[in-house]
Amino acid sequence: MEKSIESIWKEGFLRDEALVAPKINNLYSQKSQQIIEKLGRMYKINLWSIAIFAGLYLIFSIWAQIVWSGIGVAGLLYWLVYISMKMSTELENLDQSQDSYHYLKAYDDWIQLCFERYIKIYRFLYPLLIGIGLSGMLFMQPRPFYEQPWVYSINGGYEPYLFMGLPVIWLGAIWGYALIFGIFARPIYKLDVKLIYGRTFDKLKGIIADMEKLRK
Amino acid sequence: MSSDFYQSSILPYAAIIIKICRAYTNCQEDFEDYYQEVCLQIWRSRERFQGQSEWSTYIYRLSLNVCLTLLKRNKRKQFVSDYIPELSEDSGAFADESLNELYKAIRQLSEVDRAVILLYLEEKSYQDIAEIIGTNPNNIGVRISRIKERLKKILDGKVN
Repeated sequence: MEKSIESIWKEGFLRDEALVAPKINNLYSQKSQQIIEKLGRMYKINLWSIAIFAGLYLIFSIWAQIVWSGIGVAGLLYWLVYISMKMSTELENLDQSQDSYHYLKAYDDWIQLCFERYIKIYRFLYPLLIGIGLSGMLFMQPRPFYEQPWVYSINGGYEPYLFMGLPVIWLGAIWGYALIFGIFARPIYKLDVKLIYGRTFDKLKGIIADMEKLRK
Repeated sequence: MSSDFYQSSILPYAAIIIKICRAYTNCQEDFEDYYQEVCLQIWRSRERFQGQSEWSTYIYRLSLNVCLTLLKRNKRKQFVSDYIPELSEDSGAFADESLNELYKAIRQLSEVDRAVILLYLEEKSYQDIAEIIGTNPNNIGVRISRIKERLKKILDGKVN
């Protein structure tokens, strides 16, 4: 080696063009892309989980002889997946050619819109899912473990109060419980969303807040 | 980031950021991302600067930390894709061929050694280097000698 590394370093940087700073523009484009992709992935995983759970419940319901419950729960869940997929196609209408700030704002607005729509959906969906699901549990008869519906087998021969052949007290309790979920759909759904998407939503909000500061 | 802040507090020190970012990236796209991220972090943490060290020292420290963090993040991505594009001449490499060779050699060093040699080449004192990296100044001299030896070997083609 002819020159020392010190002289290579010094002489190399004597040329002005060696140190031209790149232009600072679209500062958050990569971050925006990453967070949108992450949310998209999480959304897809969430929908797949719901669909898989619905399928498994349907299989279970056939085995447990509560097909009506299986069809009810799985049907509602598949409908939810369908609605969610339809909502996600609206994202394609967001103008991706706009700058990162406006794109993220539009994305955040879409999330808020979806949130309000889901609250309306869950106001009915929570009680129906819980009601149909738990009612199904009352009548499940998974052979060879139970020879008669579970509700008649508690403590080896329990006989519930029947009205028109139905254990009305049990059913009343279940549907009352389900109704509570409908009444408190907003906070429950909020908690649900926070558990799944909380950190990512916070990041998105943080980026938008940062960008708003940058724009000042 | 206000244009004023960039012009007055970052641009005069852009050379530092460029030199560091170049040492930790292999392509122009990554270099620009690293540069932008460093600028962003400087702007974000401007209020944390308490004047205990020089602004330039603060920028060195922050640039190195950001580059090391990004490097770690990108390494994780590399498990998925092992493709690392080479820095080509038309993609923003330095015009001086010897400098390009030196950078290539520096990129073969470990992350910490890269930081040490960059600071050494920027004529920072051992005390400053130790302070920026957070190590003991007594070991810096020996470390630099070893790194220089290794760099010479790489440049002479004795080490791959």
